[in-house]
Amino acid sequence: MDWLDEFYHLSSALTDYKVVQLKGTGVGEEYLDVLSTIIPQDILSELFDCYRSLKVQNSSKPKEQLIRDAILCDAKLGPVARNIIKMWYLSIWYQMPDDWRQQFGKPNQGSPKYQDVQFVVSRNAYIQGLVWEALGSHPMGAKQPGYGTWSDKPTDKGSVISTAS
Amino acid sequence: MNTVDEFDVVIVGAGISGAIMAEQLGAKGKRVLVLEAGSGTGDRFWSSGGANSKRDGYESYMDTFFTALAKIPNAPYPDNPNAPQPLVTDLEPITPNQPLTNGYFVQKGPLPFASTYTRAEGGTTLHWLGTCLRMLPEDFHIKTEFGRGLDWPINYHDLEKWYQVAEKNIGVSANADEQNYHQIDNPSVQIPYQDGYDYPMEKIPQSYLDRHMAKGLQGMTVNFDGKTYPIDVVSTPQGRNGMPRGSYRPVGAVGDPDLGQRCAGNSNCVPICPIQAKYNALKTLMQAQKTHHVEIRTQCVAYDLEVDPVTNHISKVHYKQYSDPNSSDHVCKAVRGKVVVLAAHAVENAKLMLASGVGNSSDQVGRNLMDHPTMLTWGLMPSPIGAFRGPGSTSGIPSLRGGDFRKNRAAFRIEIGNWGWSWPEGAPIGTVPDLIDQKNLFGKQLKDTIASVYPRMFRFGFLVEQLPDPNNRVTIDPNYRDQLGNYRPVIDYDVSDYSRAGMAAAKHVSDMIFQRLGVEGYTEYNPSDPGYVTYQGQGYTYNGAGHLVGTHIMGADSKTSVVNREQRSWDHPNLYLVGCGNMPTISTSNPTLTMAALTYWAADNVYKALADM
Amino acid sequence: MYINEECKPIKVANNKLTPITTVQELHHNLQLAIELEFATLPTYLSALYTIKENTNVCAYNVIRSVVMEEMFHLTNAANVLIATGGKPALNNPEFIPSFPTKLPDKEEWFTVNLRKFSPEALATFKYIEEPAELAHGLITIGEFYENIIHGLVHLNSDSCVDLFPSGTCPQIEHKYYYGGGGIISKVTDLDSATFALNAIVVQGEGMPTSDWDPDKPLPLEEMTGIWSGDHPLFMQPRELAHYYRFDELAKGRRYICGDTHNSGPTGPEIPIDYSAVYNMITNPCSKDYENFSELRELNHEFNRIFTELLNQLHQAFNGKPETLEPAVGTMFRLKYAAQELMRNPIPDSPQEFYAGPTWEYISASGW
Repeated sequence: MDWLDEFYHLSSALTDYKVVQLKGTGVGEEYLDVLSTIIPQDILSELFDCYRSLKVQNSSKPKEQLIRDAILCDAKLGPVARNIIKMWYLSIWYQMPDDWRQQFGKPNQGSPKYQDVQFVVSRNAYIQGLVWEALGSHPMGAKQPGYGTWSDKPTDKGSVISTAS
Repeated sequence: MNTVDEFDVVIVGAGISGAIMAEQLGAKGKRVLVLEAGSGTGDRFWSSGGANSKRDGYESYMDTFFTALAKIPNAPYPDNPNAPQPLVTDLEPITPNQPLTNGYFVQKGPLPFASTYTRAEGGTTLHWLGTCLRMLPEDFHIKTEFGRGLDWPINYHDLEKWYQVAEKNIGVSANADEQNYHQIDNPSVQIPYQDGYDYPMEKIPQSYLDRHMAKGLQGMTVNFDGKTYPIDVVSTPQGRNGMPRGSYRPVGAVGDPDLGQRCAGNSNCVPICPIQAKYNALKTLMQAQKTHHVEIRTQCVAYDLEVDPVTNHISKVHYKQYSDPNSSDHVCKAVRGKVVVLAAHAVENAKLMLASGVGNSSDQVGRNLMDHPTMLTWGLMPSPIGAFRGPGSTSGIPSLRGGDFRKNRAAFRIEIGNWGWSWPEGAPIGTVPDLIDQKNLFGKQLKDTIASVYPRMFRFGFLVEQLPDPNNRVTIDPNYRDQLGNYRPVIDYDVSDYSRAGMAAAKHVSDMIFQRLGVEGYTEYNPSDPGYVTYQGQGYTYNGAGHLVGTHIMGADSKTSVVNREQRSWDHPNLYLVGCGNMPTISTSNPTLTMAALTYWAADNVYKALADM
Repeated sequence: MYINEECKPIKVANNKLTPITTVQELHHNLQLAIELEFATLPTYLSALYTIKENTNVCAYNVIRSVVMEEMFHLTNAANVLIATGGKPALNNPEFIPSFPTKLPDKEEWFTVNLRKFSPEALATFKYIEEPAELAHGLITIGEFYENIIHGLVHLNSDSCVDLFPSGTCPQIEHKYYYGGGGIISKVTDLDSATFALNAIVVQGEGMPTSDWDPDKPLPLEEMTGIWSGDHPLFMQPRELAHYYRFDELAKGRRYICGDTHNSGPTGPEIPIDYSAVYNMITNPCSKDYENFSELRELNHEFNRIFTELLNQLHQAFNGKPETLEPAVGTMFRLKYAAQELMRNPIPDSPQEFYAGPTWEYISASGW
């Protein structure tokens, strides 16, 4: 598996969205680009390795707990994983926590495309933020749902009227 | 010798009032020049040209919006140091004797003035919500009725026909038989509409939240000063395209008219409607230009009005023209107009008059600055109501807009917000990081939490009346200037006990409604909020409504007002002022519709005056 | 009715449309017209939605505007059918062809495929919109409608036929229709019916005149197209028929005042980037996803929405015009579902194809 695939599978576990849904946003490659520019390669490698080993691990613990134990609790990997979740949900890169930066951060070489400061990843990324789907609506300012749809009962994901007879 | 261009009418400002003026007079064959301080997008929707000749269209505002971290009302409209604009992110509590100078405004307090506006072609209608309420008949004479504020030199019936003109030209969606409030059991709020009149488009569908609330509040009443008042949820008239009545044709986006012919539920009226289904003044500016009598010059900042000492006419308008917003390089130019109209916005009109020393024999220029101090309350509904969908607000509770209580405290209108906690808490972008970083959620738990909580979020906005107070004012100070050397507005502002008592009453109504609907309240007012005030020991926080009113009020007496009922300066026979600055009181309606109606009237007055020149 | 196997264009010189002599034949032809207009949508929309976000703005807007006009055509044809006492039928699997297909108007001389935005797709679009005058001896959409109008005239002159009966279902009113295409007017008699059908032909293929001259300048205003890549001008309402609008994209140049059919477009370049397009497999079919359950589900979800749309349109044309309002919302959902699929590579595809929707109506039993 290449990094992009690894990234999608890890992201799927962290966000609870299927890989096709994540790929369906069209911005996964951009997120990985941000991530691999700002986070040192060896740490990313370790993160993907760690998740891959969890998948094959034969444990009685639920998968969620394995992810908490091995990744989210980890001082090095946890903040990276949380930033991945925030990118997918909110389309924003948040600056890594201060203590993480001191301990694990490496200054970017040259003048890379992305710096470890807070920024909206891109126009498309904003439009594809998962939080909007999760809260049952659409990104404000994009993916318009159509006239009058705000009147519909919110759980109505469009009941299909079948008139075939 | 330089020749000075001469026009029938020179208008300062290409927002809604300037656009209306230009379109109305251009259509009647008058030669009109509009000077706009900010930049524009011409008639382009899409950006055009290659890398070297790129000309930004309206769509470029969307790019700025999408990638802005803080999606504040002015987020889409680029910062322009030659025509700076106030931002809500400038606000902080003000330390006594230490003016707040970090933004465009110089705020002397004691409280911060919380509203903003947009300095670009199209003006603040680029980011307005689109609410188009008429004023109540009693709002025109609250001094006589309640011993408060000021009376207008005109009444509701004088303005009614102009309301109709404004509603047609803005393109308002509503049903007259609902907006006359005849269904509300409070005679004070009822508004007479002309028989047979209706709005150009059918009312915008009310949100699921509105309908949920209307059902839950059915029959509810509140008591003030021993009198009973009903709580009624009523759909709000909106300047956004809905289903047309009869042969009316909704006006789509400027530069791509197939777009925006119907609201598509982008849920983004503020800060920017992506398809221009919501009215903005670019539409009227385009119609103005189609008359072939109107010229618009953007990036031209008027800074001085020259007065002919013999006739007292405004003889020239001096302006600074720049080509690059980021460079202070500019050339000074002047134009003449038989009539000069200031349509630059309440604050900017006052600033320009004060800088020029014109029109101020009453000493009222810049005074009586008003807003609707807007208090929010928010909570979680017991069941999902579909938050974050549709126009920002599709209904309100207008039944407390008028009544005898106005003798003692401010009236208010309740706005029902469709976008969850986006205003009070910045949800979801501002709140979800906490779920991940502090609440330690991920995967299914995170997704389920969002799905179960966010669709239940809702908020009220209480738009509280503020009375004219000469001490709430805009002034200028040579120590505070922008990059072009023009004055920055210096603002003194406070919120009186009359309005604070209105906030207290509003909070009381909110508490009762929350009880009745079983809302889990999350409202919190902190002393660190810029708009934090106290009243009878309780704390409340106000926000800006963006309704800047009353810096050059109209009146019947030249000693106490800046313009007469024709909206002409008492001091200069060829100077007209338009915009919300003319309004002597703000009452409880969002002011744009009333301002537009007044401006149609003023355009008629200017046209008649030109005939005599 | 449809030929589904890939086949080469066949020129059928002797293929003649049958004159319409009964109301039943009229209704059949109008139903065919609705199917014909709708059948163009999957092919246009497939290309449209493969265009990557914020790229090819010109091309995107041109195709979108044509789609809006096809919906306008469909509505006009449906209104004529309703006005003459017929009942449009959109809610069955036979309503939509499976691709590749022939257009259902006896134009049996070219194949319609679902393709990503590409020169090949534009070639198909031009075939679909080919003016009658270019297709001597062949049957075009224009001639198909002309035949219907002749039928209307014939039946209207027959005193035994109540061609526009009272008490028909409500037609689609103007207020439900927006976003370009045209203004819907009510069909009540021969004139209004002819007007509605002519509006279709004019937009699609240009003026239906017999004295067509390929060297006559196209009806363009003086300023049209003189600025390179000037999108707003491109959007201005022009008389150019669909064929020429697609031809502009295919040639990557604007038609300007003075250009003729024979000269082709001589104006400035239109920026087109065929690489900023999702590489959708041509004519996606469910077989492409049989080993990939997640893609299969996405495609099924798309088809559920597509089915819902057809059901809503069917209702709108059969007594409940207000159903058009939610149908617009369904169209938006259809777009987002299509784009989600199109951004997904098909695993292990040697040509690195991406997925795409299959545009299938799911019968009630298939839920």
